[in-house]
Amino acid sequence: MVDRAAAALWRRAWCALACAGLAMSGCAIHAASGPQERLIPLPPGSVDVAGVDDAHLAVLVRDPSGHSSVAIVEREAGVVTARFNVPTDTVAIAPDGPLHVYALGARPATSVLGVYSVGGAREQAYPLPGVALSVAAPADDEAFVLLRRGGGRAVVEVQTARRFMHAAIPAPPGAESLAVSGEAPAFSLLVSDASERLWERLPGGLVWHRLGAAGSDPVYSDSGNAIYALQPFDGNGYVAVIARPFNLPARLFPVERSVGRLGDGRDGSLVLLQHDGDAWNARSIACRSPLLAVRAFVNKHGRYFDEGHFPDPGATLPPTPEPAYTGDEC
Amino acid sequence: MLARVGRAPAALGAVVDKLLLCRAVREDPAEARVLRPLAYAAFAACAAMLAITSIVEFRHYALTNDFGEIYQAYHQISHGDWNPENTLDVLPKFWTGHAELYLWVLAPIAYLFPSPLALQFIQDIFGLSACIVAWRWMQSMLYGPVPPLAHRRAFAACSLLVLVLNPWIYWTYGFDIHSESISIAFVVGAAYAFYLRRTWLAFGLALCVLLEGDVTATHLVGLGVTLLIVRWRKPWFGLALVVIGAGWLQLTHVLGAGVQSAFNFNYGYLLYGFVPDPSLPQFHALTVSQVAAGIATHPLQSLAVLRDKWLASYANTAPIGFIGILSPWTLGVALLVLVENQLAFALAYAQPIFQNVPVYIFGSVGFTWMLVRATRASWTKVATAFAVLAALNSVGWAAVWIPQLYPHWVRLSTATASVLDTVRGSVGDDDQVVTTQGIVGAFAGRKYASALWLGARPTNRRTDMVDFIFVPYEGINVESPNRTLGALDVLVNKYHAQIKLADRGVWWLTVSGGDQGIQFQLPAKSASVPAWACPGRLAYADLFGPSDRWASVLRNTRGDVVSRAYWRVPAGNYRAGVEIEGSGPSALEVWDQTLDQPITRTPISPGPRRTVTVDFRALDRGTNDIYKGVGPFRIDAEDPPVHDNLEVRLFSPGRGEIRVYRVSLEPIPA
Repeated sequence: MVDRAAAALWRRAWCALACAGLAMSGCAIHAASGPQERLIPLPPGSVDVAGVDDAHLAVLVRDPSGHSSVAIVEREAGVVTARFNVPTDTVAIAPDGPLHVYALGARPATSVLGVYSVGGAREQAYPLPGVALSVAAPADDEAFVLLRRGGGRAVVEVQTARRFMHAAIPAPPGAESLAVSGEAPAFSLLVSDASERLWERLPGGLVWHRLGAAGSDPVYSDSGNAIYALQPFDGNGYVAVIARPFNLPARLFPVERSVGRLGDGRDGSLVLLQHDGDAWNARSIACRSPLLAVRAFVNKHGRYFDEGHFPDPGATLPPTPEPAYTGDEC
Repeated sequence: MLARVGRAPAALGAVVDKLLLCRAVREDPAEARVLRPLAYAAFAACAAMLAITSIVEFRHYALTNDFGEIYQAYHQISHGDWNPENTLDVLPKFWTGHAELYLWVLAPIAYLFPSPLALQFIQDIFGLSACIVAWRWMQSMLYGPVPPLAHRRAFAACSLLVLVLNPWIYWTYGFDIHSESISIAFVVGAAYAFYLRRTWLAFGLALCVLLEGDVTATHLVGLGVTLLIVRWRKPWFGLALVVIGAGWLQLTHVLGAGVQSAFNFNYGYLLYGFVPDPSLPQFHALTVSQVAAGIATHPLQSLAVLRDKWLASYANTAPIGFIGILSPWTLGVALLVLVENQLAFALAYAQPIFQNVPVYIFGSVGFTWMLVRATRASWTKVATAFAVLAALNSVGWAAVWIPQLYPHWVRLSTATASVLDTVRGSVGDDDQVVTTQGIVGAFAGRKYASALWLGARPTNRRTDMVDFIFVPYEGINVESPNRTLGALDVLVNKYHAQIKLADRGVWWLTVSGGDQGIQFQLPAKSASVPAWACPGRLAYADLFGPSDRWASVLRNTRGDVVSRAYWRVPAGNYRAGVEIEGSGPSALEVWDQTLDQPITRTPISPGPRRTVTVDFRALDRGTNDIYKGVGPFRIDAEDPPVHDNLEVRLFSPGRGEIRVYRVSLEPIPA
């Protein structure tokens, strides 16, 4: 009798241990992988979005009365943790590290790049020699602004730590949107024009190269291994994933027609600002999502009998697992 | 006379009753009340399943190269060509393939029934016969012992379910025609005759196995091993069968047969540890004894292979309840066949398919033997529980895999089949015919027939009139759509073939006159294919005028002008292009068809005929989804092609006329 009870106890202990092990491994896998996509609710009237850090987004909001403000939104909970007013003519924002936000005010005569703390204090302001169109901030204390000057376009570099503004670099005519990638002093500049042409100026280069791929409102991925650009076609919206350094399109994936802006999530993710009726959302696509993949698999099957090929000697080997996510994807 | 005719149905019923039920069952009302309807229903369903599958496959032209080879020989022998050629596999003499001599015995039937369907039915009859013999053997085991076995009725019912619900039996008979599926009736018949101690009948049936060729000779060796196990006190019969089987295998190979056995290729790697270049002299020099010695001296290599293919072994033995292959009466054949197929290099041999049919038939009989032994050993409850579980398991395998029979083996639509009916009725009996692999079986009843096949294998011209019948996108084709589209291009532009019919994806071209001694060199792959061969769903192929003006055309209609221009290429940088002329806008698109995702899209303005290209990067990240079953009813399916399938399309928003002449995809030089 005692033996039987002991055996039953032993079995139950094993079952409990196995269940606990399975549950723990399941939780660990789930925690490691996380969701590939997330929809983050934004305040009504959002017009621009950018990642501040891996937990927050900065959103430029224009209310019906025309006033503009910047809201800091927590990604996980989707709640506004801070909000401050910026000039009414603000057209774009870009984060300057986790503590500051650039707000680009576009006045007909002179535009201003304001540097705000996430608490709302305007700490610096740079008058710009032209009408500002777009701003990009590739690194802390570094901002690039695309300007319209007369009939042409130019890019100026602003170093906020040194309170210094570089001379303007001529940009392709008709450029409307700017993206920048890299670290000082090696920055890659990317612009798109109204005809969805993309132009890139590589570090140390003196000329702008026209890319074969097309799109508008481009952004570089956090790693610089890809370019994302909007590509509306035939009534539908798409995002083109362009692999670098080949600069060849690797994928188009459909998005809501209402997607107006793309933003670098700062954590490798791509953020899409979309508007559906009364709802404004940021669709955050994680770096590990297959939608953003830019690298080929080395070996998808451990064995294969391809067309016309002599069978692989490793045909009886177990299949090769999919390569683990390395962070190089986007 | 009339009275005799009137009694015929009753007499036939009595024969069928005797065929399906042993005397002990027939004469015991309690047993007959349960087993008679069960057996009648089971074998009626089995026969209907086999016949319907054959009819559906015949109606949908789902008969491929393996069927074509046999049907060509069957047809030719019946027409007086006693030593026919195998033009499908380019063998000057058919018999050198596998020494399949049974076709000379069956050929007279072709006088009366020349249709491919008759040959399919013949194979089905052999399959049904094998199942009936196995069932009778099961009854002999269950109803032979005195005193009567407990629960024998339940065991009989479960055994019958395990036998007739095995989906792999229907897969065996659903895939073309093969010597294994014919010989199994003789092998199981011989084994049963030995069980009943009817030695002369057994030897007669065993010798019939030799007619099926070199492959099935190994089954005879297995039967000999079985006899050595069960009649170990009198080993002479077993030894005789081993010697006859092995001797026949060796003899046929010495005489020049077994060319298609791929013996060296399939087992040579067990000696070398890798697959050597077939052009190496030592590779070809391997003999049966060398392979046997090599396997014996390198056992770990074989064990590693068996370990790697455990899922295939599981899938083959699970529907028969696993244990059946270990019974002494079935061990020799079933285990030997299982091991020889699992050790073969080609994964296809290891999967549940015709090569393993002895495992299914003998394994089912062995399952019953195990139940009998367990019951005699007073493990009645265990045996009963296992029998019920095994029957339920068989129901599960049948429920998962029998519905897959038609999607798997029939891949040609009714509409396309109706077009092929027209073509088949119009092709001359003496014409040489070349088709895509998926439909060659139905067109092989002639002296010269062959499949396009993969690679760049040339086709010798043998007659004045040569018919090319291609269905690029339907059927079980081993060649890629790109090869077929490229072949259409070369036939039209190099060999000046005339298009006789282009309808619903069927292309029928003929070449006549001109140089008779040529070889048709059709490319293995083409960087540029004609757009008229791959028009979109709403577009049409404009084939008027000189061939350089042929195009795929879409007028004022929204849709694809060109679609399904496929290339399966490795990851890299590519340039897709179209030669286009249009009075309206359009867009050139490249899709990763494996992932079902667009890669790039370029708007094209209206303009005169010119080439428009778009550069893109193929990442090759998709994986084809191949059905592998569900839960425990899972197989080790062969991997799909590694590289993603890229598709070039041209989309028209529906404004103006768009004409596309050619579609291309080529790598961008580094």
